[in-house]
Amino acid sequence: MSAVMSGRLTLADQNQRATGAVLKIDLLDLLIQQGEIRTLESASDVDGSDPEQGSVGWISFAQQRWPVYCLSPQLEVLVSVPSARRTCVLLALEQGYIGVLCDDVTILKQVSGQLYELPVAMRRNDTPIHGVISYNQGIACVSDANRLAAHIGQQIQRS
Amino acid sequence: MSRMNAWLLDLGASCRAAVGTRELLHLIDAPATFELPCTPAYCRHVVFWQERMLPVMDITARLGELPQHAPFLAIVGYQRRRGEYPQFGALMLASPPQQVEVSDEQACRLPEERQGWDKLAISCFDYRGDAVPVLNLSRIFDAPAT
Repeated sequence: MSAVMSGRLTLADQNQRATGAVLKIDLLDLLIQQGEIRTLESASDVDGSDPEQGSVGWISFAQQRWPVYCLSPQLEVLVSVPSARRTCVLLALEQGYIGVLCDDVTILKQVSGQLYELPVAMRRNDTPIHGVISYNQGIACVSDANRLAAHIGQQIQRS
Repeated sequence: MSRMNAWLLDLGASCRAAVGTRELLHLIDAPATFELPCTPAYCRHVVFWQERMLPVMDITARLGELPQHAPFLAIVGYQRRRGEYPQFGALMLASPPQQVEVSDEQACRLPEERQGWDKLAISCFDYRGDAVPVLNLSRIFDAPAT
């Protein structure tokens, strides 16, 4: 696994290359290591019946069903789904999976370029963002599946 | 002979502060900034400057005002310790800064109308009847988000 995409960000990681997927969530571009994505499904395949607290439904994978979450561009958990969220990304965690709805997904065969650490003044304890890269004349925020799941779990616990 | 030794900064919301002349490096008009999620309301954006990504600090929001969209950014540099490489950050400004001359005789207490200056300022001086805090840039940019 590339250190760039594993969450271990050091200056030495800069300019290394990896394979990633950019999840578009409204104005937010969120870069995840491609290896953490198990499947891409249509949002219409999400079963919205009897969702877990904080989730919007379930997605089936490997003979089980896994909770699906909808996030805002500020990565807040939403319980109503904006119409633009057409894709469900199934993310592999250390234990199990979660689905995350996004507008679309772009696979990057090579993630290249400068990787910037999150400035100290912007680092909240609960942030799932651990870096930023230049992307598409803007930026993409770098995260990983386990941090994102932990961030979602913390929000649900607080609500 | 007068010697300008500070920049007077208009931080918006009728709030002013100052930095040393050597601390202000660049003024950006109509800056292109990018918002990051899960960041504090007072430091939600970054700006790219000389191949660096800098946090954009809204001092008035840090003092309790609503977050603003500033027309100018002041790029500032500071050292954590003497002799170390400089660090950089950006401050939101409502208008271009103004150079002023400040002497020790102008020292005064921090303004009392806003709470929180004691965590952001290193000293304060009187300028035409107003108390103007001098920003402690290291403390402002190196303190973890709250």
